[in-house]
Amino acid sequence: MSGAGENILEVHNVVNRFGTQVVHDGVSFDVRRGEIIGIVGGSGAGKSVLLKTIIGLHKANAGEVLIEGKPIGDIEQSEKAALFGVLFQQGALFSSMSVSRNIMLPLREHTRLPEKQCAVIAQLKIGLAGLPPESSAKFPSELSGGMVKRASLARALALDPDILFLDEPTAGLDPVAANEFDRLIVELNHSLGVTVVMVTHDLDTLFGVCGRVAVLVDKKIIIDTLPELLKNEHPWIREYFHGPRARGAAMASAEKEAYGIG
Amino acid sequence: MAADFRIERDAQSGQVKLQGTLDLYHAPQAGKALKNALQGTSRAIIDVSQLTRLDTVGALLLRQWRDNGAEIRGLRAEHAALFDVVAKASIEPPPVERRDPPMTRLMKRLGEKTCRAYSGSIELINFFGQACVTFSRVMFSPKHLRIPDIVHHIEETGIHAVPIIGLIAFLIAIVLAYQGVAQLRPLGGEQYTVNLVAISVLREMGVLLTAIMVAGRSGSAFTAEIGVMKVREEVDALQVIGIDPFEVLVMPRLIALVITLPLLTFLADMMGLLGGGLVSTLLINIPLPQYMERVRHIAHGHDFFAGMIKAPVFAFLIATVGCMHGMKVSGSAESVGRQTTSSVVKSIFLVLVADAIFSVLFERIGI
Repeated sequence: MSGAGENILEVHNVVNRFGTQVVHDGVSFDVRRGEIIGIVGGSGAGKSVLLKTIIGLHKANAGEVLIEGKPIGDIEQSEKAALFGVLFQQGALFSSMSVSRNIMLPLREHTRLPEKQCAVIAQLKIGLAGLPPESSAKFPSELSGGMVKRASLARALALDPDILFLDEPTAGLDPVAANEFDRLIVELNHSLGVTVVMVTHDLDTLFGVCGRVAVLVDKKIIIDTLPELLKNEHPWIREYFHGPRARGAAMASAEKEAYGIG
Repeated sequence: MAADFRIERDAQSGQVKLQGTLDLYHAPQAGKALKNALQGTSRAIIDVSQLTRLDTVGALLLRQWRDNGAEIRGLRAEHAALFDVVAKASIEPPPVERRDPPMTRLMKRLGEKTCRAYSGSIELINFFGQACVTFSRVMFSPKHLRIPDIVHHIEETGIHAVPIIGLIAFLIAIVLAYQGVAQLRPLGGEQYTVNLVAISVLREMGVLLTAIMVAGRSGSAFTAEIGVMKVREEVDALQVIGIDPFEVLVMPRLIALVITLPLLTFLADMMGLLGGGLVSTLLINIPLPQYMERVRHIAHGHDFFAGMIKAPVFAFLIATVGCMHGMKVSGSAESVGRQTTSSVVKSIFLVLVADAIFSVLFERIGI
């Protein structure tokens, strides 16, 4: 764990095209170690494609993605699993396995830890993700939406990754559960030192959790801290951060700060 | 991962000093080394001030030693938050539910299966009934009959199945004829192969093969299509809009299959006879015109109709079972897979049961 400030993820001039439709035209941004970054953008702006490009599930037409200085295409499968964890939008838990089996899968695949210790580690991650201990024996179909997200987060954390990618982590959760999830992400960022990159539409999350926000507009990324983005004159960004919903979220976050929570 | 893990033991104080990286890749090695180094020490002291990297697995290892009475010394400030979280987390696996003894489990399973088989048959009979009632309701009303849907399903289940059904019937007839020639030749009765092929294709093979193929092809598709609509709440949406899902989803498929299966059976019959003709031309020197003449003498109208009459009944069974299992899908995508499997198994089973009943019936009335 070398010092903060060093770039853990670099995206250089990524271009993505589908047929004649250009989705990304020279997307570039850096993520520093230990940051929490939010990626926002209108529907169809290509947030999911960008996330898939970063984690190497989609090959960009041009440009490169470097994780810890290495191009994503050159990173071995097993190394990838240790570098980053991904929380998919629907959780993507393997439905044929119990929660603890889901978490043990990467451990058993990529480490030489004894089975018993794997089970203990799985139990630990379940606790870290804020799930009650007895959920380890449950199957994904027996979990509620919020619990699926937490279990999936526990699996993403299985190999202690350096970066955590979250795809709409609070989508479909009620405000209470979403708040708890936000707090959990901040806690993990603090205690495990994990860098977090999340695609989100949840303005409360953006205002409450993210240090910097990357806005995907006009096929490019504008990345800045929230106070700076609030001053930005781009019409879509203005609309996004000054709409009625954004005002409510900003007020809530300011209130939290005033009371010393958040 | 390039960083290394080292362990040093101070001989005088018995203190163990860890250096370098303690993460999930080094934990197995570190666990063993610690055990060796601390063997027989009454008061174990682990100095971790030289650790450069620590992750949750490493922290867990340290916590487990601490829980066993060891003292962790010199934890670095940057690791403190991590160790704190790991130390507080619960790692006790939840108590495993006690399983019943094997015999009890077996009896329970048997009982459950029996109950399920019973309620399954009741459901099926209900569904048959509902199909009949709905059919009698929509029969005379073109608006509710949904002709375009029926035409679509006729194309899907009928026209698209023509190549595969034709080919399979042709090939099976060839296989049958070959076996017939091989078995009958020593007895000098190889020309009776024609009887064998013509009668068995017309009465049984044509319709059975077609029904089994259609159950695999279309019965499963019915279950999967309706099942996916069920998962995506489309069926609920239909109900809310005030449309009977049974009428729009089940009836067109049922009617379409009752129309197409007899036609496919006719195709299979013809292709089967053609396959028999090919073998008789090549193997027993009965040219095609002569073969056709013989078939006309051997096979009577009732042989042909004994096969054809079963087709709509099989179609009804396949379509209702397929649609019923589609409607039984609940919740998740796995459920679609499970229901599709049991739909195909059950429809083929029912087709064979019905075929056996037909055989007995035909024998009784003498055709």
